[in-house]
Amino acid sequence: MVSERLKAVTPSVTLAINSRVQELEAEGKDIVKFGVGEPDYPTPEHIKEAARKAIAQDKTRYTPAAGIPQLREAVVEKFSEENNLHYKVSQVMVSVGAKQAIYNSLMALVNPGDEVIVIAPYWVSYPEQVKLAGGVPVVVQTTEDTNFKVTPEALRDAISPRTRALILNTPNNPTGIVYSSEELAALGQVMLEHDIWAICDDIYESLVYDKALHTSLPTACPDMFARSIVINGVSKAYAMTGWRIGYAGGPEEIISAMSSCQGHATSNPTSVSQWAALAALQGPKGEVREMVQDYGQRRDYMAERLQNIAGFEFTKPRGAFYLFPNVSELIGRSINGTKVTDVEVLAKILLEEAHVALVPGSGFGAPENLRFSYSAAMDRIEEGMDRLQQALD
Amino acid sequence: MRRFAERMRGVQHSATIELSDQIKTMRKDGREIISLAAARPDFDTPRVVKEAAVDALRLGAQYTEYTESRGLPELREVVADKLSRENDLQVDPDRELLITVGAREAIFCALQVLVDQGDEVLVFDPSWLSYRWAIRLSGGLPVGVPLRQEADFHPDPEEMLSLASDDVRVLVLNSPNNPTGAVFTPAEMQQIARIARERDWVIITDEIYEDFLYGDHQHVSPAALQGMKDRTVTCNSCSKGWAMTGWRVGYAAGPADIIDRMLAVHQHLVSSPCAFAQKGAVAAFTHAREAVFDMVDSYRRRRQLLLEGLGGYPRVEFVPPEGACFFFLRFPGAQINSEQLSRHFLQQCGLAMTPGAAFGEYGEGYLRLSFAGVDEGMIPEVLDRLKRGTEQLQ
Repeated sequence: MVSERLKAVTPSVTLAINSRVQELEAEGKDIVKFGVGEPDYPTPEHIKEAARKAIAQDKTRYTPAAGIPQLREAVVEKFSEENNLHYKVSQVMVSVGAKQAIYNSLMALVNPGDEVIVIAPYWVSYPEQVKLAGGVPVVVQTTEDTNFKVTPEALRDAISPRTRALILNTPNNPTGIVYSSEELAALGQVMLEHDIWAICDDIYESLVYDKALHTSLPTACPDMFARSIVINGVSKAYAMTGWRIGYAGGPEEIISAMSSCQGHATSNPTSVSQWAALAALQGPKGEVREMVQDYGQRRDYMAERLQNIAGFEFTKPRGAFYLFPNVSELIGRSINGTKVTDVEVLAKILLEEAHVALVPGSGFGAPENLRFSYSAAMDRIEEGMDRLQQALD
Repeated sequence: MRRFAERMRGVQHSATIELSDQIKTMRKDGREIISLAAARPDFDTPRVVKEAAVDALRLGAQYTEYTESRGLPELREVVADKLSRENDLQVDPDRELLITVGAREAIFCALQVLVDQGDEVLVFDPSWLSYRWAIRLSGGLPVGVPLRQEADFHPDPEEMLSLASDDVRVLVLNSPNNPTGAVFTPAEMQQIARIARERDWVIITDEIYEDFLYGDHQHVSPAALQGMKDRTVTCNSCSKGWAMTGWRVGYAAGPADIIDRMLAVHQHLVSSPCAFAQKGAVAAFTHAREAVFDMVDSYRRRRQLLLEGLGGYPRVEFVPPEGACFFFLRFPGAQINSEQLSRHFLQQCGLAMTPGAAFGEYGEGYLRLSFAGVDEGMIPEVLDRLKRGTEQLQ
């Protein structure tokens, strides 16, 4: 019954872990969750207030598929002020999360059989979204040796006559690395030579530490402006994951095609969420800054504790809210009588025995790593690290 | 350099949206326009739904974070109850149900899951235009099955069978029907179901107008017919019944294997629908069922007034709508196509109606008059303008 396209699509690994966590919690177990990539902050009050106002004013009807004009204008302003990217309103659109914006981009660009380069470790949905669009994901593996960054040489080697686009995610999920402006400019040059599109997932943009700076690829390489779709959203920056608002900027024809695709797939994102997102983009940034400072402290604490547990090798990353240690030393060992044959088994043992939920890197194309999210509250991080130390010592 | 994927070639923005842009421009120029174009209810979302959403926002992070991608468990529970009580359809809320971003996402995901590149998909003609584009976006080829005025826009199963090649695996069905207002009879549904079983088709059924029925017409969910549960994906939403178009909450009910694959598409497409909107939807199903019937009553009065006004007026032909919220009008003797007709009524008498060609080949020559957005009190004026514009056509 099921189409060939869907046979190849796998459900998300992160979500599989989540369901096991829910089962254990239903049994009354207390689980420390380092699995989900979700802010533990509530949405700031002034944003919720904007939502309540929109509801009270009955702004609850269909909006244009690409979003309300006010929000699109605010997106234009955001790109202009924060990224030095200058779009017209017709060159931006709003989606049901950054996820749908990426999906729309792929649907608008990719023909069946076209190749799309995905850099491993990658966010689980990228290869699946490429497949859903009928494309072929071509994975470029990176390792700790290049700090999980793709080099211009490695990119060039991966390009074939069928390559259509590259998906680039900085700050990066799951590794937490942040590309520098120079690195992006060099990658942009390679893409220009081969006439390849860049789909830039900048969703973690505001989560950078140690004075790291986020740069968007077309900002670093202006010649790529006409070949880039820049994607962002309010989920991570304003603790608004459940509101489902993302946005994209790009050449007008592509945005227009993306918006038709969206029109037939879901139509507009929730109207009330759009008014709230407008308040987020235009409102005070104080809470966001505090949140980022907090994350920075959690990162420092988690990194320090993890460095003291044997078997976790990593350099402290400067973005997103993840640590992505290499755990190859633990593979082959036995924990509580169970042999650790791979990272998935390791994650399972740590969940079942230590009640700490982590995501195995295998789902991200990194079979020697485990992803730790430090978006959990500080006392939970302490508790989780205690449990890990106990389980592994 | 090639800019677009092939699939985007010809994918159009919705004709209804273009018309609404035109209306906006004319209104800005000071023209007074009555819109009979949008199928969007002119009611506000029921208070109890709005309050539930506002309460949810107050409840800390729970309803501002991702929900389970399948949808809030409590929403799935109330939807399963509703399907059991009202549609005679028993579904397991954990395996056979998916909460989506409107019925539109439900239909889109179902097509993504069921259609392979080059597959033929049957779809009635005329029908809502988005079906055809969603089929194309899934790589399929839409094959139109005519609904004809001579048959009161009811389907002809024999003709459907004759149009279906051996490659057909999916039929998209919509009753009560947009744009014709037809409600397929139980006997017709049975016939369609029998064919689907014999030919091993899956039916994707869009039931968003199920509550909007006039006279003694009944709505039948094909999934509830014998042997059909395993081959039917039932799509619906809160949009039309509760005037919740902007909230974007819908659902798909179907066999566990199809729902499981739809969940995979849904996870990579949107993650989950808006959290507090789902909480609002729970309140809609639990506490606001009567609001729907009030709205239907008001639609019934509008329909009646239009029927009385147009009855015995020979220059406009129509089949009295059995359901939904549309008159599908024809103008015998008019020498212009439906787009020109639409423009004529908009320019000459300030009445906006959707050209029938937007709904397929068999919609040519018609205009869709939606009474979802026009208050009872306006109907005499609507009739007046409609007749005036019709006279000018001769």
